[in-house]
Amino acid sequence: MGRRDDESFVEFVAARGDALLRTASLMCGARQDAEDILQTALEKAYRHWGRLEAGSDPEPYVRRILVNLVISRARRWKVLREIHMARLPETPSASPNHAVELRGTLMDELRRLGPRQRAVLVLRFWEDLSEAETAQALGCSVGTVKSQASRGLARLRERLDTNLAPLGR
Amino acid sequence: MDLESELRKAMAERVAGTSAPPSLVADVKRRHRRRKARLHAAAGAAAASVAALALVPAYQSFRATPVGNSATARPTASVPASRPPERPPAAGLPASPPSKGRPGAGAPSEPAAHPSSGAGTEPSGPGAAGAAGALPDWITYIPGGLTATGPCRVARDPGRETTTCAWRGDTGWVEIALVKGGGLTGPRDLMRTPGVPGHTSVRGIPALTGDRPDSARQISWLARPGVGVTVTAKGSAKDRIMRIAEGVRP
Repeated sequence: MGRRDDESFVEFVAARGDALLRTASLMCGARQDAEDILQTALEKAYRHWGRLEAGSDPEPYVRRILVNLVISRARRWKVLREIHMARLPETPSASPNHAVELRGTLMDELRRLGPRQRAVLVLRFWEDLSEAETAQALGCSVGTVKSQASRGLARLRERLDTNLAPLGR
Repeated sequence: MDLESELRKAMAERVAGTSAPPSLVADVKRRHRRRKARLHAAAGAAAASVAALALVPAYQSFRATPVGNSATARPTASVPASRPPERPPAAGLPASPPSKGRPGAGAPSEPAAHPSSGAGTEPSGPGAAGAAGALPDWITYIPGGLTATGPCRVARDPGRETTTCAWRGDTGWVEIALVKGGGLTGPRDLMRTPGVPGHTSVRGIPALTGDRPDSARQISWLARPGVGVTVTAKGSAKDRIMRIAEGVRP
C-alpha cells in the first residue's frame, strides 16, 4: 500500500481544517491560541505524513496530537495564570436574556475545567466521538473517559447552579 | 434542563463563525521549514563543537608531547642548569633486562660506528620505512617529515652495546644512540663535541649539550646507571632536539 503524499496533506487540511480549528478553539478557549496550536499539531503531523498509510484516516492521528498539545500547553501555562491573575473572577450580573446567559456561562465554566476534562467533554459532545474513540484520542482507558465526562458534567452543573441562582433559574 | 444538549448548543454557538484561514497549509509548511532550518543549524553547531573538541587532542598529538611529561610542552634547549634533577642516576643500580621492542632486542647486529664517536658523521641513506610507523617503543617522538633510514643497528663492542636509529628528511636528520654497558660514569663519556658542553636536563636528569662542527646539535645523558642516550639532530630537527630527547624512554 502506498504512502501519503504532500498533495493529500493539502486536501486533508482543506477538508478538515475548519473542524479541527473549532475543536481546538473549544479546548483552548481563545481563537489565537487555537490557531497556533492547530498549526503546531498540523506541522507535527506533516513531519510524519509520508509514513501514514494512504488508505487510513489521518484525522484521529491529528486529533490526538492536537489534544495532547492542548493539555500540555494548559499544564505549562497553569503556573503562569496562577501567578498573574491575582484579581477575583467576575461575578455574574442579572440579565434579561437568560438563555444567552446560560450558554455563555456554560462556556465560561467549560473553560475553567481542567484541560483533560475539557478535552473529554469537547470530544464527546462536540465531536460526537464514542467513549472508545475519545479514549483513543486521549490515550487513556474508556473508564477514565467515563469518569472524566461524568465529573466534568457534574462540576458544570454544580457551578451553573451557583452562578445562575442570582438570575432566578 | 438537559445539560448535555445545552452544552452542545453552547459549543456550536461559540464556534459558529470559526473557520480556518486559507493560508493554513502555507503557514504549516513555513513552520515546518523553519523548524528544519533550526534543526540543521543546531546540528551544524553541534558538529562544529564536536569537531573542535576532537581537533584539540589531535592538535596536541600533532605537537606530540610525550604522555605525562609536562617538560616537553615547550621545545627549547635552554632548560636552566640550576634546575634540580628529579631522578639523579644512582650508581650501583642494575640496568633493566632488554625486552622485545627494547633496544638491542631482535635487531640485526650489523657493525656500526658509535654515533657520537665521529663528529660530522651523518646517518646513512634514506630507507623505506616511515618515521611514525617504524618507531621503536622506546622512542615516542620524531618530528614529521623524517623517514627512518632503516632498522635500528646494534653494534656490540666488548663491554658495550650501542643501538643506533636514524631518520632523515629534506630539512634535516635525527640520530638516536642508546649505549649500554659498564664504564659509563656520566653524560660526558658520551659527548664528542668540541668545546665546553652546556648543561641541561632531560626529564629531570642532568644532560650535556653541544654543537658539532657540522652544525648538528647533540645532547647526551645517562637514563639510568649503565644506560646512556645520545640524540643528534641537524637542520629543522635541531630545534626540536629537546622534545625528541624527552621522548626517549629506554
